[in-house]
Amino acid sequence: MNTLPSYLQGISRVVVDAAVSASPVALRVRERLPHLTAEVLPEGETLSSGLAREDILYLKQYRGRFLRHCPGTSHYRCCGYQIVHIGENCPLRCSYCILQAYFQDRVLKVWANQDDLWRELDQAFSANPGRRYRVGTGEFTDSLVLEALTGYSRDLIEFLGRYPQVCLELKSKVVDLSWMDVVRDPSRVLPAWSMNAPAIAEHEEQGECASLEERLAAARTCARAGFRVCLHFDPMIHFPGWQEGYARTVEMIFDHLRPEEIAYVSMGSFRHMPDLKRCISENFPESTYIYGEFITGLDGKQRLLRPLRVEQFRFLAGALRRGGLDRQLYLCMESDEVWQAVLGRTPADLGGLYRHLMAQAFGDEGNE
Amino acid sequence: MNMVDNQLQSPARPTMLRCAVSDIEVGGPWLFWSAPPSPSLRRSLKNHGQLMPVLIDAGGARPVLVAGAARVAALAELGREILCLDLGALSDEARGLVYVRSNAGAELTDGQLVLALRYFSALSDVDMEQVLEALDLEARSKRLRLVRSWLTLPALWDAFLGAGAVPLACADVLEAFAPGDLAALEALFAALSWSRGNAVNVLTWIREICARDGVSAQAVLDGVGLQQILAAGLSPKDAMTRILHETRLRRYPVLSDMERDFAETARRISTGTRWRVAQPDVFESNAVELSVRLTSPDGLRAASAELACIAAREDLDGLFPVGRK
Repeated sequence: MNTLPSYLQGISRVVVDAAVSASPVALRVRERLPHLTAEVLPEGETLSSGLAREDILYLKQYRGRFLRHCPGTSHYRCCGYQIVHIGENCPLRCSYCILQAYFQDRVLKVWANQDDLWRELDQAFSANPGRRYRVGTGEFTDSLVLEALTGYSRDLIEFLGRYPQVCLELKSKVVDLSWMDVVRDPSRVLPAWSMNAPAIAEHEEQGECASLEERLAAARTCARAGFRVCLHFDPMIHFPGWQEGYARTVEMIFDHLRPEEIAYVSMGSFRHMPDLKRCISENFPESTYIYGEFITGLDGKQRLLRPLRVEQFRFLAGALRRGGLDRQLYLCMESDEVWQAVLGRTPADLGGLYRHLMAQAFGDEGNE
Repeated sequence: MNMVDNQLQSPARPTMLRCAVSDIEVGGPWLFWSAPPSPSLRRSLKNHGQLMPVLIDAGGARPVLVAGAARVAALAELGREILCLDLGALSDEARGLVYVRSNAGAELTDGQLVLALRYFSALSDVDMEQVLEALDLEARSKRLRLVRSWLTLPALWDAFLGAGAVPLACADVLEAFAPGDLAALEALFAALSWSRGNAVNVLTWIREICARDGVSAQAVLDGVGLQQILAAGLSPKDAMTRILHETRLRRYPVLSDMERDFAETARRISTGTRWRVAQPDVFESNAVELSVRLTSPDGLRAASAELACIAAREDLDGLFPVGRK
């Protein structure tokens, strides 16, 4: 247990569906948490819903779709990547995390029936071998936060090695590079880390997240090993001193990485369904950024008033451009008007955001 | 209402008796909804006498009034004896339940619910399920959740609720204020009766300004100019409109500036025309909506000419504030 990262040491209970109790993931978890006896749920039973327990790891036989489209909203430009759904929830405690409002419980769920996952992915990727895919696992959980227990990303990378038309993005706030040695082609894996202003990383990303310095050092390790990395400024937070904060983070980025080592950088302003505000005010009463000037956007979500977020985007984009990034920059869930105001172009000018990012991901900008 | 349900108390057989007013103890805290007798009750008692007994607990040294305070007060004014139904010795919880049930029938107001639950909550070992049933309140209802939030407030707020100055819907946001802030907020409700939407908005904005800026509610109200507004001799409606406006200005300063500038531009370019100019989506897009209501072809031709005049103006930038930037 002592070898486990600190963010996993709070797990006190393991529950596993009988159907997946002998799966590679379940065996690994047993081996890596030898002090815990896994409770096996008989066929037909399931863990009661609504448990506010992030100390429970539930290895589940998942019956839904594994490969999904990103749940973008209307009126705004979505990056169009596809989600490989490997589990839900996260033991890290980021005040702004949408998962607080998205799921009814906090149980750490892992879809342990990987054979079903491999079958579905094979069917999708084999059905149209000429089509390229940009996929990621960091939508409903952190891609790597459970890696030390489950080895899930390592398995996924090994599996996807057979499909050169697929590029996998691993988005995280921790440092776990244990998967690197199974990568056949570094150009088909994009390690990605969340970036924010230092004050936000320190105060709003609680729960043993890696520091910005550690994330960027890991990104540099990956870059030196031949990977291109992705960085995500999402959510950008409007707080007193945000200019200095984001400027400092950009400095740190270019202290660690060269522009050509970065596949793309996203920028997204904090936005949320109304329920999340209540979750944040209850769970993180010290977090006052939720009292900024938010309005109801065209998709019904709360967003920072447009001039305020355009100002933030312009500031960040300007700093990143001065460091040598340009076409790698994109905005997450913004309108053409905001794109134009911030980057001086719209997704249409790039041939569409989906196509552009596909090209960036595969490292063939201009050929897509 | 002064109905008596003999099933209320199982062991004792209720006994009818007459008492002098001075013999009865009438100040029990379970009489939480008691009010002075109405003119019609006074008239009825005077003309027809007491048709229903009041409820007492005569199990102790002195009879204690359990229900019927208004009748006792009116009969005292008339100098008459009181017809009483003695229910026997009752606990404080049972007295409260008898009181609630003897008043059953009318829909309870939020203020009444709060008074009742404040009484029962202060007792130990109360069967809350029975209390909720007596109050006809669902255990998982939003109303009960709000009442429970309300009970965290100082009891003096119950008077504002009872008077209709502040709605129960504000319980959640009021609960989030510190005691000192709550004391400052009393000034908002001492003289004004707020609608549900306006009350929730003004309190939410004040609380969010406090949290955002790290200041007290008193400081926010000082910035809003509450005392000056209250002293300005405005009608209650105008005073509340002004308070809302000033509070929103401080909660949303950038948006308020944009709205003011846009409104000025819209007014300038549409004055003298029949066109209405509006920004439809809180500046989330560059869109502007111009609308007109017409009733005849002549009206249409006139509106077209007016629109052409508007379009020819050179001061239209203010209509597209974000797009211009």
